[in-house]
Amino acid sequence: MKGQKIRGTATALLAFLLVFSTACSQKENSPSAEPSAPAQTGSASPSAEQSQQAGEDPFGKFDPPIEVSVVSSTGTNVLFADGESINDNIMTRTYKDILGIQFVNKWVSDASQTVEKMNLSINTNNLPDISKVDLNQLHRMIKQEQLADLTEVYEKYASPLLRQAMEYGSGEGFEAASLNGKIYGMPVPVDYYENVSIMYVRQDWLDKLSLQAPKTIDELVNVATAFAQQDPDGNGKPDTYGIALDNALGMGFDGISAAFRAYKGIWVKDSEGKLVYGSVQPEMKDALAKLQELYKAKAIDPEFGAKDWGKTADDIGAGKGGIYFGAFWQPLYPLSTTLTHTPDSDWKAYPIPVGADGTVVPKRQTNVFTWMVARKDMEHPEALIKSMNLWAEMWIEGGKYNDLFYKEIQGSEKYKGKEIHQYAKPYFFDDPGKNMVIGKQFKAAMEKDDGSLVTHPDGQWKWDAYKNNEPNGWAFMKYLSESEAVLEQYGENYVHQSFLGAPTDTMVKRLANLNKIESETFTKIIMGNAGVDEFDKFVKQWNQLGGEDITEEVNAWASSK
Amino acid sequence: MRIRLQRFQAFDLLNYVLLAAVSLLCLVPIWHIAMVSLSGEGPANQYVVGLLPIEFNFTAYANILRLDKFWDAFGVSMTRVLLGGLINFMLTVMMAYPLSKESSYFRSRNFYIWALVFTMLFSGGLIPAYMVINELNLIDTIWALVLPGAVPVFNVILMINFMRQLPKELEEACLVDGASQWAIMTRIYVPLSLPVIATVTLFSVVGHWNSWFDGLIYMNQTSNYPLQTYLHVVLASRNLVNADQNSVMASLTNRSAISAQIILASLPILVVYPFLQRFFIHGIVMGSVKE
Amino acid sequence: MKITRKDRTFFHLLLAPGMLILLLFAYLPMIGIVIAFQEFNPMQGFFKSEWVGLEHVRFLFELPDTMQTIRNTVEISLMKIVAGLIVPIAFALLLNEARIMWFKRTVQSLVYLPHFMSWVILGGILIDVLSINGGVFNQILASLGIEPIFFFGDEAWFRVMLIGTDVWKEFGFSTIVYLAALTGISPALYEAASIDGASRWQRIVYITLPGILPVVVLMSTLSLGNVLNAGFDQIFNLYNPMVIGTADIIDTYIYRMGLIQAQYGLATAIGLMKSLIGFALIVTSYRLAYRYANYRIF
Repeated sequence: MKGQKIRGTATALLAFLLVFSTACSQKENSPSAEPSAPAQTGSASPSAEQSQQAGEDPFGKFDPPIEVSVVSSTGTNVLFADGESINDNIMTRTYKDILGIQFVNKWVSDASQTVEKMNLSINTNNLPDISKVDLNQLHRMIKQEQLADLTEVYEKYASPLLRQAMEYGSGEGFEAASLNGKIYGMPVPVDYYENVSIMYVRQDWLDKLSLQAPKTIDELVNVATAFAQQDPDGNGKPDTYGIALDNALGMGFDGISAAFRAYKGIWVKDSEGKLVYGSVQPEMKDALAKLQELYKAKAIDPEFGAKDWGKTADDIGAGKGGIYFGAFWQPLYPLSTTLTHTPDSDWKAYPIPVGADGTVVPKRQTNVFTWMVARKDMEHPEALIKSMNLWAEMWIEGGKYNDLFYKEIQGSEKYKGKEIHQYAKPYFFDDPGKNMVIGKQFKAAMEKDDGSLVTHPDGQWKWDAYKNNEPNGWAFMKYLSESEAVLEQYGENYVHQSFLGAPTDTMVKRLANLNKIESETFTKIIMGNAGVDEFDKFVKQWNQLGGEDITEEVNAWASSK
Repeated sequence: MRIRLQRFQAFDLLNYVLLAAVSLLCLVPIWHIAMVSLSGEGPANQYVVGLLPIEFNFTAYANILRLDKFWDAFGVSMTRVLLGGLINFMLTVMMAYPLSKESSYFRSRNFYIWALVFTMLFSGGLIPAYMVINELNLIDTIWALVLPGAVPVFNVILMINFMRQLPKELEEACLVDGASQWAIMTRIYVPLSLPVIATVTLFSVVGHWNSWFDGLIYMNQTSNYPLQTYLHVVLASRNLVNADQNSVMASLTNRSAISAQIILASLPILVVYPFLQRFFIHGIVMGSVKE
Repeated sequence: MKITRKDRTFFHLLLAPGMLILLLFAYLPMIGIVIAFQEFNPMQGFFKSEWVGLEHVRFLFELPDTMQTIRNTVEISLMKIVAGLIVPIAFALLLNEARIMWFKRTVQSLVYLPHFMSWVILGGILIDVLSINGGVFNQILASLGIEPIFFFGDEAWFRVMLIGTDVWKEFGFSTIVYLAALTGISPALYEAASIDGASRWQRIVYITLPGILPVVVLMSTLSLGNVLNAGFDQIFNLYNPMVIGTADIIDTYIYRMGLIQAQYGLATAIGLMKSLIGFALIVTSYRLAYRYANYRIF
């Protein structure tokens, strides 16, 4: 473990973790498997059929089977069960058996090349039947008229369970994928609270220094300073710091700035209901002033400017930092690695600190970053919807193929230690409310020490892992009971990303540059290399270099709603 | 006089030490990686291996022996080297011979030469090149790796320069005997140019072996990657994978396994480079230090 | 001697396959340059996409990144050119002083080695041995009481590493040229000098250096043509987001702009500018080389 470097973007790692959480999910025979589960699944399908118009069967099998070309990406060393490959495996066979859809890989690129390959493919109009694209690609493909209109097939074929996942919340994933009332892309949602910041604190350090977990920004300053100065790890060296922050100014920044009602990088509604950019609002100046103060007091990692997300995660694992702001799933990584190094350490999840008025409203980004699209002249665009139906029925609780997926496939000996998630081509989308549901069950089960209360199929094996002290058992327990409890405590009280449309013309051209200036200025201010007043200069610059135009475009979008 | 002699000896000693140190600096990093590849997984991951293996074993190599992707890529590279080397060789000779004639004799020569040299000076760039390869349906084929560079312009120029140095009388005598240009080329010029041909062919073979970027762009299937592209991808993503999280995966991504792949991928170069060196000195001296 | 029609046909036939290749893979892509002046849409193709004139070029110069990468490119390549001249010359001079033949040959063989390896492999090796987390080099520094250095993660150090590792890879190979020039110096000159009682230093300054000067001039003028090529292979295999500020060069910029952000028009526009300036530089450098070193490429 020592010396393993985790470099790379949070997204890459997140993908890896999702892989990993599935990879570890093989439990021989879940002893606590719910007897009621099959009954539940039975009830799901009739209702699904009832809702269909004109008798279009969401699971109707193509006979003879049709071929649907897709593109896949994989790490170089993904392992398949004996005799299986990315072109032919349990998942591709399942799609073929049930739906008569034979997925054919037009190509299989390395994960590190996905964006490049897809871009080249779009720009040479050499597209597979269905593909997974990001916001910029989606926007370009719509603009270049390369996509099939999915409005009708979605209406006709989407099963209730699929709709539930797609339209979770307010169905914000459809916003960017629509033009003139037509839908061109199916959202690929992740957890609804994916990017909501939670504060994790080293409980063993708090205990050692006889401190309480910070509830307000001022207490945060005190605790973080104490972590930096009072040798909480007791090794006699001043080698610890309070708050871990990375040079992308990620969730650590969000977790602290929310107390000032400052929301970096998202569009928020001002008092008149107009959309404004969070990073350039006056509240941000106060947040930056406080961060500068924290940095000066050595409460923030003094070297954060040179550390990317992975490096910060390494530090957390090595027991250097005591306060970590992160997503609900982060007990899996990097928090669990702290335990690997220091077995008697412990992390606890808390809400982010409140501001001067005793309240805080956390920031919430959207939970859709990718979309599934169909090529303009694809013969059967409904195959996309049908295949997504099937995945929903396998993965989401209450689906009629839950047992097939969780017990027969994931639970079988053959796929032990394999990455079923990597098989789940061409997409892997989540039920955005799943973790909240499992979290509640988990908490109840822990209070009564009764595993039968965990009824969600994706929760049952995690409970077993926790109970049997398997790898990640601790992390599952932490994030399902504690982190989800914090999210519950936040309630539905968030400042949401309010611009959900496609990137505007000026954004396409200038956003990358504006973001760069923003992150440089903020880093300089926090590190004290520039005064807080530098912020005013930045706001002016931001407006001049395109921000003003973007604001207009964003509001034009809002008023067209 | 005596003092000066001693100073000379001190200088010589210092010089030898310095030269030896610099040469070791070139060897030691590669040597170190080789030793890591021969060490146990534990010592390798704990970074305690120095210049000698610890827990000496061949496990890393045995694991790679079973790693199909590595050998797929190795195969692609081999095919590429053979096919690409052959095409480069043929085209070099075919282009250099007529262009080594005086323009008074072969009047179109200057046009061809400029057409050739212009491609060295100016190019369409990455995106247009991709579009052409795509339009020609060469994506994901070995031809995308060997055809775009099939005319090694610099080598052709080296060859032209060499052939022009050969005595004209040879050709004239043959012409008098009624030999065809084909005979002159194959019986006189090619045999006489053999050392240079060998040099430039080795140039292109090494070039083909070492290329990786075209594989990254033009190959869509990872199974079509040449070895260097494969290795680039493995190295670029190695830091994303934690060794102890998946034991099967770990056996292929730990430090000794990666080191072993690095060593195996450079092995062919290590084998041919003593030959290269001999030819090279000729080639480079001929090519660039013309008086 | 007169060329017959048959011979001429034969020559054209010999040249045809090569010319066809060049036409397809070198000349055809040049047409693609038109997308530098278009809002390219693949559904409409090269000729029906909307024309925007010099809009992309104008916009490029509005982006601060463009100037930054141009600056980086020129700085990095100039430093490489200078270091790549001094080190091999110094090394050739020192090697020339060594008299033991087997030693000389061994040293020569060892220092060429990195030249023949790809940057993929060398990148893999260098990132490992120079890693901050246990890399051999930092272990040696640690044993000398020096704090570990984040060679590839620190913006200032990264530049040093780019120059250093480039010299490391190429100096042995460049040494060949200077050694060849050194052997061309007449031994009679040295004999005369030592009879006159010239010191070793004086011999180097008055005989050796002037002797290899033409080659030095030649190599430096030729390298001028490469000022815009700061080493894509090397940087692409070594850089990471942490050092992008000092490591980003025109070629990596084109790569990201074109393949990651998919701004094909912009990427092609930068590529075109680079090609044009590069063209001028190469032509200039060959003219200089011709004038000062009497060098002709063909």
